[in-house]
Amino acid sequence: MSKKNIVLKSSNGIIFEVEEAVALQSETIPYMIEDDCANDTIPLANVTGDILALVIEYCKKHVVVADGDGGGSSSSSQEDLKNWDAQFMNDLDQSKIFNLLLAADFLNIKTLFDLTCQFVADTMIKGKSVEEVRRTLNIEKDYTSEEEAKARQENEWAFK
Amino acid sequence: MMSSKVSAARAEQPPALMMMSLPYDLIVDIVARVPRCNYPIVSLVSKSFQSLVGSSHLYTRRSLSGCTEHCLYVVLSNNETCEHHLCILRRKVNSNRVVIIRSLPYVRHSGGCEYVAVGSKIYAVSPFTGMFSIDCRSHTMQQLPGIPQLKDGKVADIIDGKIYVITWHGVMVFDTETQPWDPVMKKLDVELHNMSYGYSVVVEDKIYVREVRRSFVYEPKESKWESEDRLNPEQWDDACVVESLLSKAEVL
Repeated sequence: MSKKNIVLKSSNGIIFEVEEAVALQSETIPYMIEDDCANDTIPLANVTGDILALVIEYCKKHVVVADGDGGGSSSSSQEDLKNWDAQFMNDLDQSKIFNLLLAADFLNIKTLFDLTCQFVADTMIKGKSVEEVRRTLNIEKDYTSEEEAKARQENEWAFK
Repeated sequence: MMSSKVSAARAEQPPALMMMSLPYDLIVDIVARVPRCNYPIVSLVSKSFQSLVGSSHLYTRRSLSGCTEHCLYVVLSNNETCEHHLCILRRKVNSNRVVIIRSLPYVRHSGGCEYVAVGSKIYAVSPFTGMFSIDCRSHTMQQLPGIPQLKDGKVADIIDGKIYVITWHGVMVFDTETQPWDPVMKKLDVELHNMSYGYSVVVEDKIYVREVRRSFVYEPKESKWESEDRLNPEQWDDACVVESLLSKAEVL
């Protein structure tokens, strides 16, 4: 059975050919196909090659599970997928993670968008001290000591 | 499965990207997924985080992304001074504790006060001090203007976002969706004596009310008010409703 392929071109000119089902996890790409973006190659001006490679890796992994069980995946494969997602995110550096988030937003891939936002929330903010969050996210302290003391007082309940 | 790189052009690294360089909407999407109890710490990180945590935009996004959380609030009242302090349950792995929210002013409610929760707000209904709304997102309190005195009646409950306050004159209905508040008074066809010590629960969109010795049921849709004989022999104050069942703890 022959499957239709779609050709995607990153902002820095790298070409990827993927099965239609892989590409169609993006809700943006169908519109681009309809708009007939010339020569059957879809240019993605906002996504560089290495990030697009990650997006495709994610979409390929997720399309396999959906196919394998005819739409509904079993709980074990759901579990495997969750572990795979965690490993996938863990292997990325911070800049790649934020670029991946921008790409998931632009390409409108909801599960990847949710996964990336949740990963940032869980690993860079949740349960961390003020100083840890500043260090992790490279944020300068812009409070004066008085302002910080006042803000701490307003939220005093949370520091007990 | 086929997926191959056909040609590789320039190998270009994306520029190093930091969270604060992301569009504002994406930062909101991330912070919406952080548990609510972390927000006080998040707000201390920088001024832009502080204004984000205080914005209603964030809570709208939390609702849309299904990131809403339930929090347990407790009111501590001092019988001698009539001071009511709002507290929140802080859940930690090894120790749960109830902490007073000191940024909220305490209110002296002589004559008691009833509390009902609607969405992210808690409404305090007191016969003498009137009505207050407490925003649980910002922990701020506001007195609601134009509320008539609710003397001799204070039993309040909530159905479909409407607060029902039962007084001996009738049932006063406040729609929390419409501001400014315009209470509607519905006369009762039975005579109530004293609701100050009354008690009420909502079961399946009906309000069950206990006056000193008698029990009644009020059906808001038809404004129907009837004696509830099944409950009459029971002292069911301080009972609570769990999945349509009225449960009461007995002191042995």
